[in-house]
Amino acid sequence: MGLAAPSDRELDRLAEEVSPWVRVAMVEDVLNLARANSLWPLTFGLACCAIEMMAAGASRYDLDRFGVGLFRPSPRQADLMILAGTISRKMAPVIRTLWDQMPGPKWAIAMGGCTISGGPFKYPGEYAIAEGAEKFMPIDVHVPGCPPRPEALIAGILKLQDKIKQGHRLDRAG
Amino acid sequence: MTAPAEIARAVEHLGATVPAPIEHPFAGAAEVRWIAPRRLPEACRIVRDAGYFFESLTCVDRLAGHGAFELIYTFNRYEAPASSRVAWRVWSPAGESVPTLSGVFGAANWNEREAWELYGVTFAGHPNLTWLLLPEGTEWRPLLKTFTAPPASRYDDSQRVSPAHDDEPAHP
Amino acid sequence: MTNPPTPDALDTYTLNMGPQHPSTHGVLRMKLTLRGEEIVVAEPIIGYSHRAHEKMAENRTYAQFLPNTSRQDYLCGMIYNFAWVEAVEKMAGITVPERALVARVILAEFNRIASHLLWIGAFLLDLGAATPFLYAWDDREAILFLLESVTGSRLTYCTGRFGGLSKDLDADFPRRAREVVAKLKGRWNEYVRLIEDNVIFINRTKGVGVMSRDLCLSYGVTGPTLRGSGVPYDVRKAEPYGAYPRFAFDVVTREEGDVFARYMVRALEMQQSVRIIEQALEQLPEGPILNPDSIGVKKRLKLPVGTQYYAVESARGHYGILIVSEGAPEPYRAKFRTPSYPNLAVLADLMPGHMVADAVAVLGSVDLVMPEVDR
Repeated sequence: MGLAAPSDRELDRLAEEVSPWVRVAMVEDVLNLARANSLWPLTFGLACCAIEMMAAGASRYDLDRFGVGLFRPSPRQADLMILAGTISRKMAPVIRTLWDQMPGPKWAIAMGGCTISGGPFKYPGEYAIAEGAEKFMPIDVHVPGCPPRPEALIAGILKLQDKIKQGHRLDRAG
Repeated sequence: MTAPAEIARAVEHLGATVPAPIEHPFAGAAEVRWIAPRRLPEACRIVRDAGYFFESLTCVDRLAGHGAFELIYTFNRYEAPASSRVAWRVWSPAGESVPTLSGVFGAANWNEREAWELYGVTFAGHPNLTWLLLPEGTEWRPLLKTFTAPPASRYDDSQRVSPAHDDEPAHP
Repeated sequence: MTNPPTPDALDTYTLNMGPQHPSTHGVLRMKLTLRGEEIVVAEPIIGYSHRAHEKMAENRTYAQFLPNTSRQDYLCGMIYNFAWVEAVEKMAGITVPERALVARVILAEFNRIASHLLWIGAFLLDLGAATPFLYAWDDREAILFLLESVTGSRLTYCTGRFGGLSKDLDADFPRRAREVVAKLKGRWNEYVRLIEDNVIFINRTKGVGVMSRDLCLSYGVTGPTLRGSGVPYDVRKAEPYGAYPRFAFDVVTREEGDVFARYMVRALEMQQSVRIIEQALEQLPEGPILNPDSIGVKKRLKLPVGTQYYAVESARGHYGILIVSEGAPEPYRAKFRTPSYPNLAVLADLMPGHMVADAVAVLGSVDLVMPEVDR
C-alpha cells in the first residue's frame, strides 16, 4: 500500500488539531529556516569593502547575532560568499573556482559598487577589472556603497535571509 | 660636501652623465642627472655604496613627441639630513633595452618587471622579466599612451551576458 | 635578488598560499616550496588587486582623481588623500591656511592609530587569538565615529581639497577628540597585559622573521617594518611636511628586527600619534579651513610643466607620489611609490629558512595592503 502525500488542506486541519502542543511544517521550510539563520560565510575580502565586512563581524556591529558570525576559510565548509572588493580580471577565474568549490545550497552577496558594476574603477576603456561579479557568477543580493556601512551589509544579509526562508537557492532552482 | 653632491660629482667624474634631451624641470630631489643607459649600473653602484636605497622607478611614455621612454630612478637614504633624494633620469629610445639593476638593488627586480609589462621597456640581463601585475600572457601594454582600451571581453559591458549559471566553466 | 635555487622535485612540495586565505591582507598569493616544514622558496605572486590607478590618473583631472587616492591604501585613506592634495598644492604653489594644516595632522594621526589598531586585531587573529581583534576594532570604531563626524566617511575619505579641507572641524570637535584620546590611553595597559605579556604570542614572534638592516636597504623597506630593525627613518622627520615640524614626537625603533619588534614599534607608534594629536589640539588655530582663493574641485586646475616627487609617511612607510605635468588639466604621468611594494618583495629573501607555521607571522608582521602593492 503506497502512502499518498497529504493535501495542503489536510495538513492545515492536522496542524490545527495538534496545536498548540505540536507544530507541523514542511521539512524544507524548517531546513530553510536553519539555513537562513546559520549562514557560514567564506572569508573572502578583496579590497576596501573587506574591511567594512570585517567591521560588521567585529564587536560593534556583530554579525554573529544574525547567525552569520562563523567565517570559514575553506570554500568546502562555507555556504555564503560575500564578495567584498574590486574584482580584477586576474582574480575573476579564481573567484569562479571558489564558487564552484562551494557545495550547495549556497548563496552570494555582492558587497560594494565594484562587485555590482565595477564601481569607481569602471571607465570606458578600463583594462584591469571585471565590471561586476555578475559577469561570471550569479549573485543573490547586491549591497551598494563604496564601501557600504556595516549596517548596510547587515541589511543585505537580512534580505538574503528572507529570500532563503522562501526557499531560494543559487545552485539549483527552488 | 653633502652626500648627494658627492654622488653627483662621482657620477660626473665617471663620465656617466649626458646632456638633458628634454627641457623638463624636476623638483623634489637634491641632485638630478641624466645618465647614459649603458652606464646606469655603475652610476647606481655609486649610489648604493653611499648607503642609499632604491626608492622608485617611474617610466614615462614620451613616444609621441620624442620616440623614447624616460625612466626616472629615485634613491634616498635612511639617515638624516632631510631631502637627500638623488634622481637619475634615463632616456631610452624605443626599441632599445636598458641594463638591469637587479644585481645592484633587490628592489629593482619587481620595478623593472612592472615597467616591462606596462610599457614594453626591456631590461637586459633581468633574471625573470615576466608579468607581475597583469594576468600571465597579457599581450597589450596598458600604460602606453596609444593604449586606450583592451579587446572586448566578457568582463566589460561590450557583451550583454546574462549572469553565469552553474554549468559555465571559468575562463578569463 | 638572485634566482632562487631549483629544489629537488622529489624532496619538495609546492604549497599555494592564497590568493584566498584567511590572513586578511587582501589578495596575495605566496607560492611556497617546502621541504618538510621548512620553506625553501617563497615567491609572492601579485596583481590580483590591480585596479589601474596610474592609468586612471592620466585620464582624470587632479580633482577627479581624489576618490582614487584613499582607495589605494584604504586603511590610512586620509593620509593618502592628503598626500595627493599636498603634492598638487606644492607643485601649484597653493598655500594652505594654518587651521587646515593642523587639522590635517590631527585627522591623519587618528587615521594612523586606526590603521595600527586594525593591524593589531588582524595580526593577532592570524596568529589565532580572537580577543584582541574584538578590543582593537572597537577602539577603532571610536576613532571612525569621530572621523565620520568630520568627513562623512568611515574608511575611504575624500575630504582633502587643494588649499585645505572640504569641511571644517566643528566647535565641539576638540572635546570629542579628547574623549577618544582618553579612551585610547586607557587601553594601552590592557593591550600590554592581553598581548605583549602573553606567552604564546612571545613564543610565536620573538626571534622569528629577523630582518637585517642590509636586507632592508637592498629592497628599500620603510615604515614600522624598517624601524623594527633599528633604523630610525620616518618621512615626517626626514622630509618634514605640513604642520609636523611644530610637534614633538619620537621615532620609535627596536633593535631586534623580529616580528615582536615590529609589533612593539606599531604599538608604541600609536602612543606617539596620541602625543601629536594632543599637541595639535592645543595648537589648533582659528581661521578658514580652505584657502579663500581655492578654485575648488569643479574648475580644472593646471599644474606648471615639470616633474615632482613628494613623499609622506603613511602607516606602512614611505609613500611617494611622482607627478609629471605637461601643463594639462590631467597629469601626464602619476606614479605612486607605495610602501607595501618593497615590503612585500623583501619576503622572497626573508621567508626561506623559516617553518611554514611562521610564514603567517612573518607575513602579518610586515602589514601589507595588497591594493597598495598592485595599485
